[in-house]
Amino acid sequence: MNDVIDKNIKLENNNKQLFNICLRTSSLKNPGSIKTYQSIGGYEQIKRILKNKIDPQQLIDEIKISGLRGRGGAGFPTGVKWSFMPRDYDGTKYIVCNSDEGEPGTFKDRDIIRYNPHQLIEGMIIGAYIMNAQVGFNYIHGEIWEDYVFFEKAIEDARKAGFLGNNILGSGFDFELHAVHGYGAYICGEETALIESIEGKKGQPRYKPPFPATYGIYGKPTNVNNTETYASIPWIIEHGGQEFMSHGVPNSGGTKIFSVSGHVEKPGNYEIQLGMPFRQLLAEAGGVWKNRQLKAVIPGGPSTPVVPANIIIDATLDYDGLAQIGSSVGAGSMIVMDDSTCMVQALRRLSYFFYEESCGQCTPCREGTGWVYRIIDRIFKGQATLADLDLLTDVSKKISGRTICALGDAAATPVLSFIKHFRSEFENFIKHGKSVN
Amino acid sequence: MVKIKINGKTFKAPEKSTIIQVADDNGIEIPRFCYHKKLSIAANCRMCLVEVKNFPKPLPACATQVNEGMEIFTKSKQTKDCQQSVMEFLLINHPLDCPICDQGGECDLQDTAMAYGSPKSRYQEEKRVVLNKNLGPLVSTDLNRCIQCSRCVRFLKEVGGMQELGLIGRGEHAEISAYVEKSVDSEISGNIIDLCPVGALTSKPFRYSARTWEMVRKSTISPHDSLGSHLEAHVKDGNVMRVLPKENEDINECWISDRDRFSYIGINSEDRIKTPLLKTGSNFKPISWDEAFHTLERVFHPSLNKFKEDEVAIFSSNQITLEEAYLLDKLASYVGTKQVKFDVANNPNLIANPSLNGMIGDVESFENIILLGSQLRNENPLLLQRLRKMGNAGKTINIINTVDFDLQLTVSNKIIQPIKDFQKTFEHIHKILSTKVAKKENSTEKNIANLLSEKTLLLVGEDIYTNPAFMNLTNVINQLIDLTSMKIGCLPTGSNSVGLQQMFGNYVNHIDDKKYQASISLNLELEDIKDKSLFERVLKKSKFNVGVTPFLNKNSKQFDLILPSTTHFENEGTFVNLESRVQSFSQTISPKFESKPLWKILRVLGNFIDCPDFTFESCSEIKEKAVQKLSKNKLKRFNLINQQVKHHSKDFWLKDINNSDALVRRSTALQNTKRLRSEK
Repeated sequence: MNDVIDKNIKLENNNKQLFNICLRTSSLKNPGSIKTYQSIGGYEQIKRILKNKIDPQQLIDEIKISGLRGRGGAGFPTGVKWSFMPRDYDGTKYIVCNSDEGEPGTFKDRDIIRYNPHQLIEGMIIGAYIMNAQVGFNYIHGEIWEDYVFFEKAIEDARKAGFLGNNILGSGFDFELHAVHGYGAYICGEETALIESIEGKKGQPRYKPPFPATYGIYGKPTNVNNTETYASIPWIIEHGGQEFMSHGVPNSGGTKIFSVSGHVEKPGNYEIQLGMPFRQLLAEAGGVWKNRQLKAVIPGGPSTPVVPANIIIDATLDYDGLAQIGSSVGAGSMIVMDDSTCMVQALRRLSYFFYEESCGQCTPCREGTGWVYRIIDRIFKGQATLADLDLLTDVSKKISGRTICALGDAAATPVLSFIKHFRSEFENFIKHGKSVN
Repeated sequence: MVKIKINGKTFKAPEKSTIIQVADDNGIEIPRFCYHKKLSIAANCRMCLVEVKNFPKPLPACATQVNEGMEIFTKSKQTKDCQQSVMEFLLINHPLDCPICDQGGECDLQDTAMAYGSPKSRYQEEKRVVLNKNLGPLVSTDLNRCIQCSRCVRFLKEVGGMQELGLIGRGEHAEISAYVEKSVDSEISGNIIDLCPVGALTSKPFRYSARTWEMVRKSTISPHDSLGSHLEAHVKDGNVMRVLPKENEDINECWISDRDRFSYIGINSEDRIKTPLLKTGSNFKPISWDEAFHTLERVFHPSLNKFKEDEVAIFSSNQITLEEAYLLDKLASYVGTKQVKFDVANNPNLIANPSLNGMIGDVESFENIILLGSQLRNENPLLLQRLRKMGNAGKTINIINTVDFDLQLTVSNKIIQPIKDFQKTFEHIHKILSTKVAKKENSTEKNIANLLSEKTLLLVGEDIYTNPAFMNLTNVINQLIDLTSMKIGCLPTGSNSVGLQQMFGNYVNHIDDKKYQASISLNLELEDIKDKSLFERVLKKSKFNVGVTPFLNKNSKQFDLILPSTTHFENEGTFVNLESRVQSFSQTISPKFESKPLWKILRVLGNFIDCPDFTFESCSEIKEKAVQKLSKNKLKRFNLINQQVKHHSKDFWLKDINNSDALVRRSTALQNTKRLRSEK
């Protein structure tokens, strides 16, 4: 079943809208400058915190109330994560912002860095204050070089304005922030591989436990959060956790950027109040392009399961809403596919990505991702048999859950979900040796 | 201790131990490739995944610590499914051609595939191809077979002290490589051959020369350093085909140095002497053993040639066995000489019984090590490996030396200075400790002074404790021992240095520079001798020179009679290692050509010249007598025994690990390695 989306549809019982928190400077002139950010009350929160020496526990409680969850994909409650950092550690502690978005369809962190870097910096300073970290890094994906250069300048501006360095604003609190760029490896977005990369080593995930909160950069306690997570912090501190929570729905507080790409008229970043119906976001993005019909959506990025049109069309965009339909929010990298899409070809491309980006450290992922890609490639070239579909499923299942990091699961997920929902299309392709769309 | 269950059976396990350790301790089999008890945990092969109750995913047994009440299943459906799938993944890109692989028959992957894999492969795609790398003359690569377990990478980094190999590239393109066309130069690099669970890294000299099941395993003790590593010689058709380590936690753990592993190649050198040789004019002519002994009889028999005191000079290598030393001692007294240089690699003794003064493993129980002198990387690479381990564990390694050797370990304090300044340094340290006034001083000496306690071990290298300058040092060191209760030990280097020191307790390892009636040289070459000029002068002036040696060499021309002795592998006997441990070994192969073990040559010589009490019928009979002469005194302080300095060579003698004795010098593989690499 494919629906035609009426671009002007008004949904009933809908009170959710686009609402900019992380991207709140984006409509202003010269959005990335420190002046613009300060003109909307930027850096006031860190000033207030440092002046009044607000108890970090109070701030953590506020973040817990806000319902903010890790925006990088795992969705772990941020307040809880921050309370894991040992308080009385005798030595350097680190905080890291993970801006290494490298999955196909992700492009939200770059917009935060480009249009609102100072909110991110303020978020990190507040985070450093709460977790008593002395050094911070923002690890920026190697393929968005301009953003790295831009962020370096933003750090310099913040330093000049006295928000970074020793004895910030005369409070006695020290925090230094550095920008680090990767070289484009997807695996470096995995937090422990990212830590290895910052240390100057080859980006390969570490076995967990120990987790970064006890053994991170150079073996010191380290917190790693996504760009969007850190960028939400100043707003939460300014308006209170309850206010942030009220923008979303229970269990999914606040706003979330969805990077809508694929077959829509207006692809781009849309910061929505969580709980917004999928229909509405699709309408905001101009609906399916060329007046075609919706076929399927990958709601959170290629590592989240694909959902056919008839299922996603009534879903709401929040952690529980997407879990109910067997998918997840992920990083909010929504890929929309119209009815002309060949699912075999789409899966082939995604599998190639995971094959190419496997770090090669552990067996199931190193060997399995290549095998999976080659089977799909054989289907695509008309050289497969129906038995290969079962093989494909079986191999994917044997990668999933047996690797050091989540990349194994990420690689298996599209394969399993594509075959689950579009098995007949794969079977037809095998029988006819070509797409029958 | 915690209680856990494996397959329904309850076991007690030490806290913080991992599942695989508990399983290994209790004889429960868990297959593995990347895990090795001596290396850090990588958890990358995933072969040891096991089902654990209440965990949604299978856990790697190598990386998961046990908790009270944990229930582990090593044979459950889920575990078996994991094992089978990992095995299948490992094999898709691994060549399935075991019959032409050098590792075939002793391959972990082959064995594990038989036990845990599926008989049929579902993979029909193309296999990965990886180009081989040239890692030098010792280790051969066949990287198509590599399963990326990273044992070799971790070994060189953690045990070898320098990351000479790495896993470059991502995903399926990940491959083991040295840094841009470099060879692997660690002096213990051969161990990666043993560590490699597949046929990706094999022994270059050995490969394709024999199958594992064709060879007989013979144990022996390493003749190349004072550690006394346990070796296993693999023998086929009367030839040593290769040498592997024999595990011994107290001594060599599961490692051996490259010279232990590859010296056997020298056994069949073209230099081997086939029969006794007698000098006639400027040439040598082959003679029979009978003729040779009759010649010796004419020279040494008291009724034919009565020597006055000290008219025979004896030079010996520090690798002769305890039994040989015992016979030599008797022969020397019989011909009335005290002119015995029983360790040609060293100056005359200055102190009594230099030895480690404790067990090798106990070194690691100290908190601080002060290494005074020594060329440890060239002299004793496996002891160095233990110090490296200590450094990695946060203990302090401090160095005072004349040369700044790159030991590839974490050094806390380092003083490099000429040996004449050592005294000043130690006196400075003593002053810091003895003057109660807290001096505001920021110096390396102060740092070292602060470390001295009963948890500190001062290790003195052979170069230092045989150097005349050491005599000025003993006093201040002894004062420091009294002041701080620090412990001391010496680092002799020869495989039987300690045994010879104890056997020849009445001698001082010294030979006068004068004219002799005869000289005897045992298993040595000019390169082995520290004071080469003295040796050459003595031989030039001496009337009759006997050389007992397996190989023809540069100084052979100086001998009047050459007797072919065997190499270590054809000999039996006993060594006393640096911790005074008495270790006997038997023949691994029969003597080549007409060569004879040195102890047999000395024994028959004794009979020919009617030396009394020379009726021994076996090596073990001699050993019984010999060990009674060993003393087991422990050094608490340094006691000088030889106040008179004579013929000490003061020159610094840089040793090269792959040039250290006649056998090593004839191992072509070792000769092709990068030499003298520990110079800076």
